[in-house]
Amino acid sequence: MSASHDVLLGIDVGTSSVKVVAITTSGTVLGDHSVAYETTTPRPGWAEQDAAAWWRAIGEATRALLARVEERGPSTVVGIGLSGQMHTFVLLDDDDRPLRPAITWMDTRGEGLLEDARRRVAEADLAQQLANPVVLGLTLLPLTWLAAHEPNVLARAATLLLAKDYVRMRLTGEKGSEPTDASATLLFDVAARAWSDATVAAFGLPRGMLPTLGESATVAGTLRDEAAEHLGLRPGIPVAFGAGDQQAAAVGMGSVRAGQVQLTVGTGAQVLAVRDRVVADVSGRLHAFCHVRGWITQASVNNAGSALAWVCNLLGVGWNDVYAGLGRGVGGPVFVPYLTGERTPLMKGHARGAWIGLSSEHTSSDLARAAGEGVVAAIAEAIGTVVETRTWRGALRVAGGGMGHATFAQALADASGLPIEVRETHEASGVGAALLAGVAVGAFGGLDEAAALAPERIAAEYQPDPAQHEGWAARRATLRELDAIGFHEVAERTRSDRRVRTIR
Amino acid sequence: MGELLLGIDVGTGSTKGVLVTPGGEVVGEHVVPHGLEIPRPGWAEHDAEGVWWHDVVSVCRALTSGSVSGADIAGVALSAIGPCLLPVAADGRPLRKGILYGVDTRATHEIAELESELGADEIFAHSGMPLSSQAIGPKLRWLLRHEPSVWHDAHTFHTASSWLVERLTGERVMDRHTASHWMPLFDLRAGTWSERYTEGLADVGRLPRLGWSDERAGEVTTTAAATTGLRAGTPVAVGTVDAVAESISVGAVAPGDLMIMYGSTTFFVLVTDAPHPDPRVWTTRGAFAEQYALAAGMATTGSLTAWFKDALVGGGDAGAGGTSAPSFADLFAAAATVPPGADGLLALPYFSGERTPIQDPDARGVIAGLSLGHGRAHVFRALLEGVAYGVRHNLETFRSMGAPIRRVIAVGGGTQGGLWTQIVSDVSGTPQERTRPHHGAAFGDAFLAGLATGALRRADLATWVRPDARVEPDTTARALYDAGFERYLRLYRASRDVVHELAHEQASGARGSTTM
Repeated sequence: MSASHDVLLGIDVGTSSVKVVAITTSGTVLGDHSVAYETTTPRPGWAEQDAAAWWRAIGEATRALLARVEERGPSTVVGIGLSGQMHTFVLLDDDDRPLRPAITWMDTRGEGLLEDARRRVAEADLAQQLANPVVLGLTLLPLTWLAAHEPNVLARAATLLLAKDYVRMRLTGEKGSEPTDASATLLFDVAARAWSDATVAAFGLPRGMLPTLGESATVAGTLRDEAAEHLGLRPGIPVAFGAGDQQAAAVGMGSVRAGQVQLTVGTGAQVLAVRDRVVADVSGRLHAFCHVRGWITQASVNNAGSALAWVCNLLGVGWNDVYAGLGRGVGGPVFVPYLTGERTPLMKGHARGAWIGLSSEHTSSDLARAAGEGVVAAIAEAIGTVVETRTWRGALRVAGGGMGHATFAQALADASGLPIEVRETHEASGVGAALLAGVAVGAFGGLDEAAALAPERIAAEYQPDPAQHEGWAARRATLRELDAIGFHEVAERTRSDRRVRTIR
Repeated sequence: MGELLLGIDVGTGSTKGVLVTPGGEVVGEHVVPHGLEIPRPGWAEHDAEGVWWHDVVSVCRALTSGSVSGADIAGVALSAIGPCLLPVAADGRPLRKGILYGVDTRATHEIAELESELGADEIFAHSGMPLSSQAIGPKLRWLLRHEPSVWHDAHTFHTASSWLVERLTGERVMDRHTASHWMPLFDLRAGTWSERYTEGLADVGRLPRLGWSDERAGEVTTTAAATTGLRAGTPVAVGTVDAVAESISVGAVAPGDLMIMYGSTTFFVLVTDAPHPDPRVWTTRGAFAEQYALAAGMATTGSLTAWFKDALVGGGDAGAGGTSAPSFADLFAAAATVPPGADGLLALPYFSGERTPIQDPDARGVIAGLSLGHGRAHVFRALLEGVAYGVRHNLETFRSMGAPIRRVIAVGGGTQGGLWTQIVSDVSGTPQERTRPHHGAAFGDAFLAGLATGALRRADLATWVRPDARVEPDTTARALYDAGFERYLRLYRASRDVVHELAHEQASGARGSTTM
């Protein structure tokens, strides 16, 4: 008789697609499958998604994945975990049907309400509870926009669910959330790991629409019949609460203990440090969210892979032009990578990108290398806001696209002054969600045992080269100096000029 | 004896000659291309025999070989790149290669040395200009220091055009516009060489005598006639530098006339009837006895669009896309679809440092305001607008000096298609005229030849050069460009210190020298 593998599924409701990952209870990744969905922009600055599209994509992706897993031998799915794009939410009526499209974290419609929201937070003395800067993207802002512009929608809203929580409701019939995702809504008392009644009251929002909370690595419910049919599974499989995609990715990379720091580089970059207490940043550069156990401090960089892809397209060069000679760009121009404005390290939404110090002797390769250096330098600056790099001892766990290029990884080590462990974390959020499900169903002894499965996937290690330190320090200092002398405010004038033209 | 007028211009990249009737009709034309020698970064040289004289002989031979003979030519005038420094022996034989004008920056140390020796303020008061890489005095000092035997052996120190005049006529004579750049040896107001600062530079006796561009320098010698095919005894004018000949060729000869030459760099010549010394631009004597000329120049223009086309989007070293390089026509057509202001992009065009008015060799290019929504057409338009802001900066400098601008004439490759000149007019609020024909500096030289022989009067230029198109500023974009210009100035000030650091890094960095 051939033994049947016990399999854990992780479903990641991502920004552009759903990714379903299957792992064994010994942590081996059996496969994954993605199905994309659309983001619509009914008006400039809006970014909405159809929750039904998430559900359709999950069915398609799970069935396709299971078919491939079955080819390798009989298997039994013993648990399902969830992760998803954070801050994105959907409002449901009394019959649990969406009242309007989901508003995603990319949506900026609340911009005009920011000042008012900050004033209310200050007046009600909520800053300590929220532990986060009041910024666009977090759930509170579009919610206040709805209160002002779609009051009848808000009045009919029986339940607010974050993206993965909505999917879990479709799977189990149970409505709920958990602290990692909920702490990123600006409706949450981060230290208390509970909804902030004071914030809900201060903004006049209906408290009853916020769901009950569970912990990430516990069972929220079981797969109901129609959901099982949709996914091609048997009913009754336990479904764990799961976590927001950042925290789930941390679990997938083994970062669950205080002191561990990881960096994910994709279109943007995130630096995440695990803490045993809430560490809020008064300057507003950092986010402090709940982790699956304890808390995290997180810095977000908008412009990483997205900026480099744009540069490659503009110059007609390949990624090798960006990576070749990183850190040897002496005599080349400097690239300011803040194409979409920047959060960490700058906290200036109005900033824009630039090449500075251009000479007619420079070629497209020089400009491409400068872009790579600019992005690495900005990421190193962001790391510096999370980690006290002179005293912290440990290796930075790094994952994401681009990390397969040794020169890029080495440049990050040199620029940050930290040793780097590159992790093979394909679909880390989905893997993390599956690991959380494993803890929830008792396949692992606990979070630490689950996280211990991660270190086996270290792909490469890089030590900072002291000889490169000075050059990178200069590049980083140039970015800081440009900020300090008001360079970005010249770009801000550009925006006001554009308004002038629109009016005329 | 014939009545045709021969004008010859020796430029940076080629030599061109034209034969013109007294009525202004061009009946012959010949071009000889040549290269530029960059023996070291910052040096730029021409072989006087192998390039200058060789080209002039080739042009004369070509234009006198067919139905036209030397006997049909009534007068000759030459212009050439300048000011250059060419030390020659008593027989006119060059003792080294010609050291070119401001593109040759070898004498940076000597500029500082002379300023501390003589006083920068004193030099300015005497010459009407501060020392720069354009000035010949520091290059004479460089020669004395680095090639002392050449300096000692030199009987005469020439510029390109005056040496060519000596080759043709045996006369040692230089025009006063060129001499204005031989600071601190030239007294601007007196219009003469000065004994005051000759110490460690050159005695006045080793310099050509001075003349006005439309004066007769001498006549073609028998030797030169045998070599060139010209008739011995043909009158030769004093001539001038290429930029002044170019301004004459487009009709800029009256006070208030401004030529904007959109070439690989942009060059301005503003005719005035009084000196306006100002450290931001170059104040010189003009081509004609009663005139001065304010000259200004940017360090890039066509060279910037060429950089964008060839170095930036032309594939570089290892372009992955394998897409074919766009043509200038493609780039300009795409830029025309981008609205004024390039959707928030702003460029400083100082990719080769900048000459006037900021006089900052360590300035560098900046492209600011980049966002994901910008593409190549935006960047290209921003570069065009950046150059236009640089042109406005120079026009405003002239105006702030109290030098009236009555008429602006645009000429050069950058005027083709009309988009760039339209942007300049929109940005500066200044109408520009085009004139025809377009034969370049050599056409202006032919007119000078006619003046030198007495066949023409200056008023005859109106029949030689006629109005063509006119570019009127679009006032609807005025507010936007006014704000853009203010930001252009702020962007330079804001980024200057950082950029200077980068420029010094470039100078001391590991990058190899480049050759042209």
